[in-house]
Amino acid sequence: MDEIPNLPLRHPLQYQTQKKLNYNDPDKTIYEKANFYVDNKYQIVNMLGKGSYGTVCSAVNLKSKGNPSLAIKKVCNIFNKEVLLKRAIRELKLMAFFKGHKNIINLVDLDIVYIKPYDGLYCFQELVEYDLAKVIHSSVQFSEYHIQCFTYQILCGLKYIHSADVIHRDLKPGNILVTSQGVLKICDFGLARGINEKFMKFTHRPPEITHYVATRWYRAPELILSRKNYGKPVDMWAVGCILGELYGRRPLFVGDNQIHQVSEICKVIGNPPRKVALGYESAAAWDFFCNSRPKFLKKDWSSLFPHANPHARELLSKLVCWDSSARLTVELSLESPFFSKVRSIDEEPVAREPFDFSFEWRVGSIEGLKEYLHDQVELFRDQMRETPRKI
Amino acid sequence: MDCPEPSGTETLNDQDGGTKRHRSSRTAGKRSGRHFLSDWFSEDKKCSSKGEDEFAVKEKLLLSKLIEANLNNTGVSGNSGNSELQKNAIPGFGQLKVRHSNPLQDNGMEMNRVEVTTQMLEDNAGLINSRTLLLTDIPPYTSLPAILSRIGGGPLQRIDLLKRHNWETLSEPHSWNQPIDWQQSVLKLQFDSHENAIIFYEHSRTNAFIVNGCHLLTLWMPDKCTPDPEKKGQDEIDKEILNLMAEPENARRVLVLKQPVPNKKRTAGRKHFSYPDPLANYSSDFDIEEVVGDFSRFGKIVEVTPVISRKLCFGIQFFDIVSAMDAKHNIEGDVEDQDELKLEIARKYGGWYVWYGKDPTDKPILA
Repeated sequence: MDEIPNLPLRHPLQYQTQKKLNYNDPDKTIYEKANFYVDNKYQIVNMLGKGSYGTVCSAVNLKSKGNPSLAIKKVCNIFNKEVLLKRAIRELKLMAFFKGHKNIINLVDLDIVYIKPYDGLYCFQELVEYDLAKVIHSSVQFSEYHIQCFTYQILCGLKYIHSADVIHRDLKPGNILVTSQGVLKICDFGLARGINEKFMKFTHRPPEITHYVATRWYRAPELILSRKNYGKPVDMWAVGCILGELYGRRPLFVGDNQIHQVSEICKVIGNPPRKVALGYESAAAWDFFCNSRPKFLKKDWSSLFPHANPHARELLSKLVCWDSSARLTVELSLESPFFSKVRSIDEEPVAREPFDFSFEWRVGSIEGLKEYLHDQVELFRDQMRETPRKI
Repeated sequence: MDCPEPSGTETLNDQDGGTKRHRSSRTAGKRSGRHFLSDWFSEDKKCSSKGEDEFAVKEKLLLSKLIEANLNNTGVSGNSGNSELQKNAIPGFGQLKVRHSNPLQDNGMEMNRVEVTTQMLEDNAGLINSRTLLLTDIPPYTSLPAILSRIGGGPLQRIDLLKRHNWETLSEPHSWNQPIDWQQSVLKLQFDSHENAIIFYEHSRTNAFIVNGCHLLTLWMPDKCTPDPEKKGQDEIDKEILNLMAEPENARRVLVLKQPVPNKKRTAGRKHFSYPDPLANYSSDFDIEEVVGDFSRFGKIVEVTPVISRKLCFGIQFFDIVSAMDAKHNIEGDVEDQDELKLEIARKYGGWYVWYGKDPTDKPILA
């Protein structure tokens, strides 16, 4: 903010000045341990987690009947890094867009604070007891029904997301929350993005899209080995990895680095067909598959997961496969006979329209983005309080 | 017939939302509301004479009556002649009354809504102290668990799918994972108390109540809408059920069954993290279809959930709390005249712990 002293004050900055005056705002409360500055109807209970993106705390709403618990996620550093600011806007817009689906985390309220060190975007969400990583890696008793239901719910949430032409790009057990009653909710849309062409800027070069997404163990091979465009199949790879983890109770491919990750994949599903390896059109892929490195043969899924339903193994082999164009789509995965006992068409709605991400290029400067974020927060808050009008 | 129902809901929302927030827009909304409701009735006559789409007409009539009744309960109607109604106006609307002393006063002359409402109030216990809400405008591809996951306020005694045009309970058997034809059905929610119904009702009037991107319309409904001569003792039964929903029994529509896994090692307190054994923590002999078949004998099932536990554990959510109570008592063996099939189920689940689980709607509203 120091770099732009001569620009006329735009409203987020004005807001900041206002707030500075109200530093001792009687309606706000401070939680020093996590540098949280929130409405005093919330009482922070404890810190749940901290990462590069920010901090999550659990809290109770003292003013709502029954004092409900909720999770508050504070996204930090958004006002000095454009990437993080964009990421915060994306996350906010996607969570608001997908609100109301049973298998997607429910955003309840938003706030934005400009005073350091409390500055950031505050997302108020429902609090869920577990995440899938905790569930898989503890001694929770599974049955085939548990695995069917969990995978089915991930696919239902993902169908809704993909139907809006959005890819999540960071699906992993840690980003899937689980209630004690076994309801799964996909969360963390920080890396998600829209891919509907309608909202892309018309340029001659393909839209830039970073390849450094997804946690390594769940990263699809085309993300590691190719610089070409990728799409929804990267999420389907991750779903396959999660299905394998549900049966094996440990991550399927545990690579210490990118190269190791690829060799771990090869150990299980064998080397890629020549056509796929050449299709990556990258030196990395060429080095890896055409040099004198050991060739791996495909292992039999039934030797890895002898207790798995044959339909589950078939689904797994069609998700965890090299050729992203041959990988099952979310719709085709739902058709798998593995889900015939748990499936209900009513659980598989689609989004009403594709997600509009044109703000990514429409709003240019960091100042413009700040203003946009501020407006989006206000918009969401107003909408939530409003009585809906039907057309 | 230009899609009259959605615009009807607009009128209703306009009147509420409008009166709440904008004094200026109130008049406009009310006027259109007036037109609209009278249109309904005139259209009703037109259509029935032509014999067109009788169901749609019936539905509109029913819905309009209900909307009228809901509006009437905004706690106004100086001309209602029902002092009871004025005193005990539905609290959700009661707040409106405080803010705007007489939001609907001009509406009184337009049509004889008092008659409609008082008739409803005479036939039924009425909307005052009702703990029953009706959800309508539900889009296709909406599951019951999806709707219920978005509801809060308190536990439900029962839910029912009603025919949209006459509010009779759907007689067709509901199979838990078959799609519901929302064109033909509405969802009735019976809360444990009027107070909890209000909590959800108020939340349901805001945009925060969204199911799969759509806002559903919520209306108050009399606890009983058709006097059923066969269910004469229903009041007493309901009273007893409500008592059982309170402490210490805490009866709920959800039943949780747990079976200990023999020889399961304790993992808590281990020094180094190790991944759990995939085979030791996997029960291969659990058959969901068998479970659904067994428990369907006690009543309609909303869903079976995979509960998170160190023991093999699942939850069954019934439509009606009575089904859950019946199943629980049956398995615990404290029912006398059982039929053979139920005895068989009692034997089969004898090794399971059974208790009531949390109703998904039994959660406070977050914001």
